[in-house]
Amino acid sequence: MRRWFIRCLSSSVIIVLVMAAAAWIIDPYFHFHKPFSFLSYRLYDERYTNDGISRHFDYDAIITGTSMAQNFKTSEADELFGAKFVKETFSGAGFKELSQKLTRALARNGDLKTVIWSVDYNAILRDRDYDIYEGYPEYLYDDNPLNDVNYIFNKAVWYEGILPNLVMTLTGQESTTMDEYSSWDKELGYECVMAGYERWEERAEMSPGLSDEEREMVAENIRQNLVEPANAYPDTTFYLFYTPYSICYWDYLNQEGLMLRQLEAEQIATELLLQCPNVRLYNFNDRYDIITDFDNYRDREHYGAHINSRILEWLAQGEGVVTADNYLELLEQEKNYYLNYDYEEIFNE
Amino acid sequence: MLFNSYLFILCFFPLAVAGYYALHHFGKPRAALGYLLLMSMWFYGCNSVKYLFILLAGILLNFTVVELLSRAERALFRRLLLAAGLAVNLGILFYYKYYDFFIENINAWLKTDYRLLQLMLPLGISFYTFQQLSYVIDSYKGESEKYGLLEYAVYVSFFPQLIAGPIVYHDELIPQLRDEKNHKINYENLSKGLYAFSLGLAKKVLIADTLSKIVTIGYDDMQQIYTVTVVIVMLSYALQIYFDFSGYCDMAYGIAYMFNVKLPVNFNSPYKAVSVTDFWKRWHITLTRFFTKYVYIPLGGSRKGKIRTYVNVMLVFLISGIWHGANWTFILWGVLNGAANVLDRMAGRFFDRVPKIIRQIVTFLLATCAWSLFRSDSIYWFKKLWRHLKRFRGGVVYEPIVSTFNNLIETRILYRLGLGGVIDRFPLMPIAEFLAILILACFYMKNTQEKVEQGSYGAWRMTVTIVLLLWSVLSLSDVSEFLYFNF
Repeated sequence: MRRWFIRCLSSSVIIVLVMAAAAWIIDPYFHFHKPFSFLSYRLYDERYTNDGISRHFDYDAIITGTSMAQNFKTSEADELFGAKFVKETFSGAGFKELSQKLTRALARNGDLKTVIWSVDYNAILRDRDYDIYEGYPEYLYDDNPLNDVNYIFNKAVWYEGILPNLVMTLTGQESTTMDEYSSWDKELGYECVMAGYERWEERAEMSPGLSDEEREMVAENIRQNLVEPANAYPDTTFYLFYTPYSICYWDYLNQEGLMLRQLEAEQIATELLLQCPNVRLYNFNDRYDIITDFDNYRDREHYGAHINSRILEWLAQGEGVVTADNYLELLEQEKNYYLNYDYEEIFNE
Repeated sequence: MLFNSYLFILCFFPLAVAGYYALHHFGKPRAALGYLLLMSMWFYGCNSVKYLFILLAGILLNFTVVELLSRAERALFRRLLLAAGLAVNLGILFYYKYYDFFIENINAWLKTDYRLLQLMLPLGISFYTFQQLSYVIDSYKGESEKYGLLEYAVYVSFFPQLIAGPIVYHDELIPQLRDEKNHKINYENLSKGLYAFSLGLAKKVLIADTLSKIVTIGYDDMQQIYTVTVVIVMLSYALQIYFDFSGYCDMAYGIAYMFNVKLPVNFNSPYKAVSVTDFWKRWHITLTRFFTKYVYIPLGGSRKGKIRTYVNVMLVFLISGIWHGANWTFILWGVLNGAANVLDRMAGRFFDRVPKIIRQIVTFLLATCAWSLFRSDSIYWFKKLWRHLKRFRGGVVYEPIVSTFNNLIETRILYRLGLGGVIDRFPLMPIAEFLAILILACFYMKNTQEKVEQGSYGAWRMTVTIVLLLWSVLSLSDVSEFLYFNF
């Protein structure tokens, strides 16, 4: 029995040590070190990978946002802005999560001077602490080396990260590029948008606007999550844009009587953001050619990758930029257009 | 601290065993006991330092009561001391575990508005309170030797059995710790202990925690589940509670074994039981024997006629129900179990002609039904579950349960290994097979203690031990489901 026990224990210990070494070297979420040139990496789970990108990648510009930013190509941004971009998107995230993670990157990397952030238009009118993502891999986000054991001895990390990277390396596959990372390529068009849209049959009465509490909520949301990081890093330029949704989204606002509320929230957000000298705010809600063409959209909100490319160009060229002088006029135009649009026409196609 | 944690497996446990034997090796038995006590304090204090003080205060208090008992000569004084000991132990238990339940019911019946305490229950309080009670009562009866404070403190706080049993008696544990034979490393015990630990860990982490995902979805979304899903959820829970609790006890058994201490068997393949009475001789055995020794027999047991026996059985199960938790569901569960036991006794040998396998299946189903009450948040939700059990709705299975199971890494590996086509055609297959295998294992496999003691310790057993340990450790930090919204 003595031999059995010693063999059993020593085999276990050796396996544990080998696994720990393999996990440290392959390090699929870049928690320990920057990627090794001799390994191939699959960039995959955003919430597991992004903090490692912030920690160890070489960059001076960042693209952040939700699924509305996933299709940005950093190679295009590099060229347009003359910078070295990384992409850190968080599917379905609220402003708070994006803001916290961006602040971590800003605090770590003094070279980070350019931020592109897709500001979800439908998330302006929300509580500042809105967050529905649970089960964060906290051990990747803190600086406590002891709980890294959760990362090293974790079958999901092995299955999704360590083993795929090992296989990719051994079979000579290239790493996922930053352009491909978290991007999606799905069918676009009228059929797709309509398949996911449940329109109210009866049109609701238009709500006149926000209550005092709601106005304060919007302001707090923008202040805490957007204005504060911008003010804390005055040398960094924040390119923020309201995500342009399809005309179907505007129909939903119109049909459910929410449009004036949304526009009022937009105005509050705009006025707060315009006070930040290092924020360049863009609004593409007047790109009616894009918005009314369903071939640009996957569903009510999500535009296809070619729109991401155009947005990058507009950001670089300053097209659609909002200023203290033009924002009221733009808002008025937006209101006139979307309040008077013939929405029934969409459904007669 | 839990056995199924990285801290315990990779750090605490190796330190505890190595330190204990090192101190014995250098001829310091008291220091070894002291070390064991300190480690147990760390083990317990990890969750809440505040509650560590409750544990320590309880130990000191009970030790003092016994000390006074040993000096008191007048019967009245001894009785008073016993009453005080019982009152303090049960009082603390009542305060933490039942006070809010009591007040809630008073508020509901009398339309009053007394404030609730909303205290967190100290871990394992139901277990260690019973161990302390046994010592006080046995000392009163003169059936116990007097132990030193250190020995007594180690007995109550011995970490393998501290937070979830088994409920060990002082005269089972302390003599083993004293025995000098047990102060040396015994490789046979280390081997057996390691093997038992790996089996228990796998039962808890790989089986029970997987079942728990199904059960949680089922009970959370009860409004949306119907007959077939309700059956899956009920079976899953019956299996979960068994693999969870017995897995934990197997780990305790294995850990203690590695200290050369043999803990009493707590689960003897309970789902092999052929009647409800038989079930209770196999399920949580140390609790049943505690109630038998300290409640049933003092009440007269079966010596005072049939009716009195039935009343005593009902009382024991009512108390057992209350012990399990402060909720009407547990009380009703206890009463139902008591009633089933009484009916079983009334039937006598009537059912002996029925084939064993039928009796076994019926007992398993009865237990499964009773567990569905045990798991419910309230009687209201229990009734709701049973109403939904009767609604067939085309035999649909609630999709999140199937997709959760089919998204497990293990299922995804099977999918890749060539079962993908079958799983796509019959998405319910993996979960059905998993449950079927577990039920068969419960019916036919040997229990852990039998496995540990029998068979040879060769290459196969070593492979099983290592694979189960590693697979379980890799599963400790299960990534919660990724949430994908539109994309």
